[in-house]
Amino acid sequence: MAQEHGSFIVLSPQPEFFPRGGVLAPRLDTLRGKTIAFLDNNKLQPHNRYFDLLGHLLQEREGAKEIIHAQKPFFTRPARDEVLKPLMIQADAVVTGVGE
Amino acid sequence: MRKPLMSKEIPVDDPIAAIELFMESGWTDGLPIVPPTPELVRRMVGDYDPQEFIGYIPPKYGGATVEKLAVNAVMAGCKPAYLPVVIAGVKAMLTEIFNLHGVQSTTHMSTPAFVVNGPIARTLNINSKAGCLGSGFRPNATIGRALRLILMNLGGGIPGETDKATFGHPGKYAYLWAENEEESPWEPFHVERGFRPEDSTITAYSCEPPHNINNHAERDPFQILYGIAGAMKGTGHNNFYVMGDTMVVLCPEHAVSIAESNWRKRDVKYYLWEKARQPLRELKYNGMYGAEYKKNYWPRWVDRADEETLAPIVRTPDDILVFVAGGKGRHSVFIPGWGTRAVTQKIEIS
Repeated sequence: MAQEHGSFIVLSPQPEFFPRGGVLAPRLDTLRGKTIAFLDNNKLQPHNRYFDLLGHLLQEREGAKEIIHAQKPFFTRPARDEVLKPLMIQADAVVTGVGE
Repeated sequence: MRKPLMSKEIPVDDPIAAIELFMESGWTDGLPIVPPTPELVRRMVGDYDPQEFIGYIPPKYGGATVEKLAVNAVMAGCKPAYLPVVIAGVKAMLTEIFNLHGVQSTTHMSTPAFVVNGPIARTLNINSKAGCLGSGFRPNATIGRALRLILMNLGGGIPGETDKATFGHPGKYAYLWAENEEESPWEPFHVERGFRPEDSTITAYSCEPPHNINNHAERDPFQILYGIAGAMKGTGHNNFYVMGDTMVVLCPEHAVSIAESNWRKRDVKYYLWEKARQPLRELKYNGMYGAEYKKNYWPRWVDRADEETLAPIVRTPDDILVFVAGGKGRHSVFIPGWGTRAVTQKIEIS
């Protein structure tokens, strides 16, 4: 690995700052009794069976109370507020992922 | 008084050590860079405020200031006069309908391509003619490369990591050209989009590589465009399922032949939209359509229950973007889209 010392100065191309509030949400201590949402990118119909399976496992093994399935409008389109805001209200945690 | 540069300073022994450090740190596209010394970055920034904020680049959401864009532009080999084009290209990609987060992280090979219109293309000698989609021209190569380095360094688009492309494609090194306005028989693309002819713009479009369509035989618009529609009808690209925008770049000889029959650009779009269709029975087991992947953005009038229904390549004729570029010869290109919208941004000269 090249060393960062010497008399020839270059500037970093990497970012020096990120969005305010761009931090991870507080982690849950337990999933027991919690409502967990899955947000998939809507490539599969009626929805992603992998997330179905994960949801069942979270309920059986971890005691999650309820599983919510949500979808982006389409995989090349961003999820809008009408999809995201209900999850913010209803869910204690949201799993996002492609899950193809 | 000029504002100071704020980027972290990295001391190394010499320029070669800088090149190696950037390579080993994953800060390049795999090719050596021009070491971004404070002097070169200052020269690139020129009269801009280096701390002018442009936006956050997804998916890493690194903060993009003019200074950070300038650092990457120096690395790419840009001249200072190119910086306004780089800035406008970033702004175009950050428009919500472009969905840069998706473009950067998809398994599809898509990457942003850029087309420059207006007087700045001529001022900077951005190639719009022979070989304009290939190598050999500094503005095309270095502005395109700067935009890629920005996507990697500020946006975190690292192949195999956050950039999940199964293949990627060669346009990820640089993918930029200008419209050949001088030899086009029609109004320039940016004028079609409501800009003034004297404005300069950059259009960002997320897409595959270009597919060549050779037609030396015909002068008739129906025949020329029938062959192009035939290439557009190939299954497997995203447009038939995801819609969004798609792009055709006509060579001047094809465009002039078509215009000699009094066809306007709008006629070209309508014809291609009418002919670039596939029956649902052909689309059933391709792309995003199959036993489980019955996803599509087809218009409501496409009867899903009738396998003989013809689905269009995109939702409306205006979603077919038509440019004129290239040199002599009778080759045009079709460039399938990823499934989002192209965005045209005015280039502001500081």
